[in-house]
Amino acid sequence: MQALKKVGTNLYRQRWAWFFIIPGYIIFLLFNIIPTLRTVYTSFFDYNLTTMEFAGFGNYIKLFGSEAFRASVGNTLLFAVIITPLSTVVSLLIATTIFPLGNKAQSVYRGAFFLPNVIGGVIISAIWLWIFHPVYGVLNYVLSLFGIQPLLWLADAKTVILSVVLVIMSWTCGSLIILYVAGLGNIDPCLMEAAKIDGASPAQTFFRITLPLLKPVTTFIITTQLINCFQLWEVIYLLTDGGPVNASTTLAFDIYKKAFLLGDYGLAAAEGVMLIVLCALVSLTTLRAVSGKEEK
Amino acid sequence: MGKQKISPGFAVRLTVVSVMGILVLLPLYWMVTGSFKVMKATMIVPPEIFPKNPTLENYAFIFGGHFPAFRWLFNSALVSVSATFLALLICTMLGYAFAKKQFYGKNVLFVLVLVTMMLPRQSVLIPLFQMVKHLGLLNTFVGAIVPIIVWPYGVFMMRQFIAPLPNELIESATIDGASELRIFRQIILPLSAPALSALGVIMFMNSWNDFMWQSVVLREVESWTINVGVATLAKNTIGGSNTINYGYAMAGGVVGALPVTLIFFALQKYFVKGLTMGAVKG
Repeated sequence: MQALKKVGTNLYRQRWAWFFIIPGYIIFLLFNIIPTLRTVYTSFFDYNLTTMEFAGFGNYIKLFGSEAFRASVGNTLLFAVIITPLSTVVSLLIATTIFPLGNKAQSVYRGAFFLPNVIGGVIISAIWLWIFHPVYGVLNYVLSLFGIQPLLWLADAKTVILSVVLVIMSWTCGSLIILYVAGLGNIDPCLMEAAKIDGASPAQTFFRITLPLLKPVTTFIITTQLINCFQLWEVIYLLTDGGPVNASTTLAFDIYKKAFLLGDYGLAAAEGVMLIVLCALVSLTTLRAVSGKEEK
Repeated sequence: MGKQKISPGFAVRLTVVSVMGILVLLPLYWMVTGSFKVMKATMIVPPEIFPKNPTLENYAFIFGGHFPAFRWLFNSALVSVSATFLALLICTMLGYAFAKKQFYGKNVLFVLVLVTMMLPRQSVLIPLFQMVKHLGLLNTFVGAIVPIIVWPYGVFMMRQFIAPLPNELIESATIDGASELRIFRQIILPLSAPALSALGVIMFMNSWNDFMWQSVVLREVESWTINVGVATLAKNTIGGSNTINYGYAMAGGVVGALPVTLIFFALQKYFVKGLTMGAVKG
């Protein structure tokens, strides 16, 4: 009784804290927490437009046996493994190149690379849809000037991954360059001067000073790029619909397809759980890598 | 670099970077010129590098009756402006409570918000869709806006920003008899202005480009946003034709790209700040 009363008084004292927390948290519960819990729950049900019956691990068994799922996992990981390091390295090279320029020139370059990012994946993908067209796309025309035979790009399983990577690379580097330029700006110029006086080569300075000092930025970039790759959806939706067959489908896109095109909610939920597990694994690994480094 | 001599290595790198910069902008050139080409001109080989007979036909088509492009633009603006303001308000309220208030379960509630930062929305798509449907928000702008306004990154950033503000400010205002609401409105919000402007532009960009959710929730032509409209124009044949008319899609793209481009150039420094807030100290 006494304890309950104390809780009551405390809650009363905390009333203003709750005033600021509750509106946001209700929305957060409704649109984040409850859907997440329901995803896990419904993944154990045979669930579609008409029925909902408990199915145990049925959906997961079906999922692991499905060609589309295996292709999705493979492609999602493939995109992550290609795009994350490629965009990080390219952005770092661009950032270090434009950093020594004056403020004006720097912001022109930054703006040029970031503009496609602002305009967004939908519009950029729509343009590329036309550029990639096998017959009247400008890309095949340009290549023909160099004597290269026309390619099918998005319609060919051999080139579709490369095509999607190309499109993503055309906008994704913008924000990474901004992050790296800001990171470079935080490095004390005295360090570079000192290294130069001590006779360090530019390469030595880069690998021994610049790169280690940029580590926090790099970690942030790698983590966010990995998560971005796991969420690849709009590019796939616009450019390939996951095809040809399943050659470019991703987990995020396959979930959408199973839910809205096939109406198999249970299976889509099980796939959603797999995506959550994948993201959690990657986040925890990078988090551990970062905090482990800080302890040393 | 300035006064120093430019080394040949640097000149090569700068050239390569410049070429890359031009390459990422070329699709935009192709979109703008393409939007002035009639369907036939979008399909000829070799392509016209510059439209020989520029036409406004595509714009007339998407604005004038066949498609409500004005409406789409308005919808995009409505969704992203409301989402931005609501998100800033909610994120500041949550960030303030997490930074300065004591209450039961504070750490658990905060960690829960951080955890969802890593969760892709696609993984919970169906339950989220059903929740919105249950609440009767399908095909409404509220349904497109509300699920994105508790923005975990924004909550985290606002907490980080408000935490170092001196407690004395709040205490002395309390002693002077200011109400909690007044403290929030007249001390916390104004002091958070630098963080709010930086987060605001990023939130605006994110909600403008929140295509997947918009395409799932807004299902009638009249309620589409410009991105949903462009995606439809780019993926579908229109009016009995059996090929896609990229002229329409490019005109739609120009219409959609213009507002965000203007905002970006006007507010570039806020974009830079908003992007770097989390990753780069200083």
